[in-house]
Amino acid sequence: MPKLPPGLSSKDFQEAIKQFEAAVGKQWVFTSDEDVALYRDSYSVFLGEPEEIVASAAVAPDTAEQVQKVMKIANTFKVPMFPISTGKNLGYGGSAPNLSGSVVLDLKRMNRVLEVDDKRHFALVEPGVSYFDLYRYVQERGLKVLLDLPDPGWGSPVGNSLDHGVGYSTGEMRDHFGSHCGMEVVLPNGELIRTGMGAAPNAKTWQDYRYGAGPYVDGMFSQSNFGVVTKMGFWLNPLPDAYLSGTVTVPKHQDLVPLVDILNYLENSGITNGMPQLGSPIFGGPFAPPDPELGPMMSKPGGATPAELETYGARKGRGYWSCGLQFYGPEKVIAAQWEHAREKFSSIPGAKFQDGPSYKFPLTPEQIEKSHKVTVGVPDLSIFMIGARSPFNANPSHGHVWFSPIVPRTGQAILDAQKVFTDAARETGLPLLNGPAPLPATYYKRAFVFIFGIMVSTDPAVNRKNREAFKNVIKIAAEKGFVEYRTPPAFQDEVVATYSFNNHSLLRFHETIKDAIDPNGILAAGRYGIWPKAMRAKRA
Amino acid sequence: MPNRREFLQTGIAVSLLPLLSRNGFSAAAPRAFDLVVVDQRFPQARDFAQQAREAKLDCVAIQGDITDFYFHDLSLRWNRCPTTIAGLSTKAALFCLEMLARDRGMRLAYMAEVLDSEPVPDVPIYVADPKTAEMSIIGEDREQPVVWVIAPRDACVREQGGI
Repeated sequence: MPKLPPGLSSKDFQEAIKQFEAAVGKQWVFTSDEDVALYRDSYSVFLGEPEEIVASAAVAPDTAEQVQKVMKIANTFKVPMFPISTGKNLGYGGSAPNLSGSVVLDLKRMNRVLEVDDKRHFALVEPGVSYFDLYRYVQERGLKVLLDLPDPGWGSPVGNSLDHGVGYSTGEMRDHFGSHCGMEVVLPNGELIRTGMGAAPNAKTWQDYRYGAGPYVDGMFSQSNFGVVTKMGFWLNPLPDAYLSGTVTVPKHQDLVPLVDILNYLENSGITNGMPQLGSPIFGGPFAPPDPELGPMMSKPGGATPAELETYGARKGRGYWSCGLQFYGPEKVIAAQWEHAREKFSSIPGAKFQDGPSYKFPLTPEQIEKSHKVTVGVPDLSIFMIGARSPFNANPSHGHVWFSPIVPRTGQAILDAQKVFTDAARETGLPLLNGPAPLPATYYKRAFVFIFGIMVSTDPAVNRKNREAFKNVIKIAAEKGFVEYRTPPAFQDEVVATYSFNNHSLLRFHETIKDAIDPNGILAAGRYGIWPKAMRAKRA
Repeated sequence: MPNRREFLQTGIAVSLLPLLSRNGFSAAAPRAFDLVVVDQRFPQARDFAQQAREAKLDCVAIQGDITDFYFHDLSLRWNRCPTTIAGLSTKAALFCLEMLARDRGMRLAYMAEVLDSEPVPDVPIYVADPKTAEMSIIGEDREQPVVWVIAPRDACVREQGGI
């Protein structure tokens, strides 16, 4: 028997289900245990425990009009609803709600690519469209655009951007929310709005100009519970002529500081436009066999000193740090940009350079196969094949949740963060699985984000211990100024609590909005710490 | 990329009646499966694929990753209608297929591990008769080969009377 939404009688819930069926069609309302179980979070840190957050039912509308009807019914019966696009956000909650007993509003049937314009370089899509769908649309029509994709690419552009997801191509497009333009939203009361130029009925610029006139409200609908986004526009890369990559390595521990300074200059000046990648080649690659010389150095109390590692690196011919650069554009232009980047990095004594692959678009299938596919605009699932049991990975886990704090874009901040996270892991017992010198991801042009995968286990005792440790690490990191940008529902209250300026005035502002536009508190209760008024006092 | 968790609805139990004594597919298979997927890296895959072909089933080979197969073949079939497919692949590949199948009205209906020392488990023809809705983890070792069936929801799910 399905779980009942909190506060609802079985009779009212049955009546609500009946009305949902009338609104969207009986076959698109799911109440059987078998169906509802599919909305569990595959990577839940509560798996098998009474605290696991599970849905009571699911409703899959086909149009914005049906979403409106569903929201009106939900208001009538005070049914808590939790919208998902494709629900593939594994590691950050998947398709499970924040509040047990919620009805999942599954938007998978709203999977229409409404427009892709390769002269103005934008797309307008519904939330059930996946990156694969959008890629197929572009390929079948031979449109001259390059998609920016997350990895894996089975998610939804709408869902990914609303959760502040990121991709792998140019700096402007990697920030998926930052590169959206225009939304259609069903408010909790069922009213339909369009943002930006979409609010002007005759405007032809909904996907060209973001702001319209008056307050810019789009941000309210990301990582929030203020509306159900039913259409969303995105800017796209023009298909570039060519792609080029190269890597610089530097020999000293402290070289990380000028390395990042120069990288910032190059990226913020537009000289390199692809996603850079920082590395620490001195420790070998992620799947390299253990080095019998390095192992004892690292395992002694306190680990190896930077000076010891520099000597070791010089002997092995390995740089201490590396930075991979990627360029998209006309062949001659990107060759000149790489040349200029080399000149800039040459100011670091001992810097060495290696040319990487260069291609012309469209790539051949062989070139695509050799590439990190998402960097050349091809959606991919092969990431799920990585990390199998091997001599170097004896205990693959059952899933993961991400700990992802934002860090200033300086070399010194990286070194400080490495110490903070390493110490925090030791103090809390949380296994941070990113090697001896974790480095941040560079999805965002203006900030680093560290991405640590925290193992999920089949053993509830291990999960309980890791949950507590995770919460402690959130606090410890925040005290040092390293605050998370995104987190699974299990930790959203804790992360939002770290945004505490002026006695949590930002959260109180969010709550004020929530109470005004969703007085019954029916939409995505608890998402990113925003609880309906009726539940707030109980949780405080 | 860290590992993932997989679920099996043990409730989507299968009728094991119409099986042949040999491992693989029964003579009724052509009516039961629209497609068979085989990860040809596994030695057991050869016999499995051979039996599928003998049963006149469409058979597609993969090597671990399902991306190309999904994009160029399966998703196009699924655009037309839900299908019943059987396969021998890693759990990781099955996990991806199962997650994608959910969006198109299908689900995992059967799964059994393929062990080195034993014959490939029989693949059931009919997926029906769900007994319970308990979910269980189907395993943590993503490289473990498994045989499986993904089938349209209507073949798997018992509609329930009340709430």
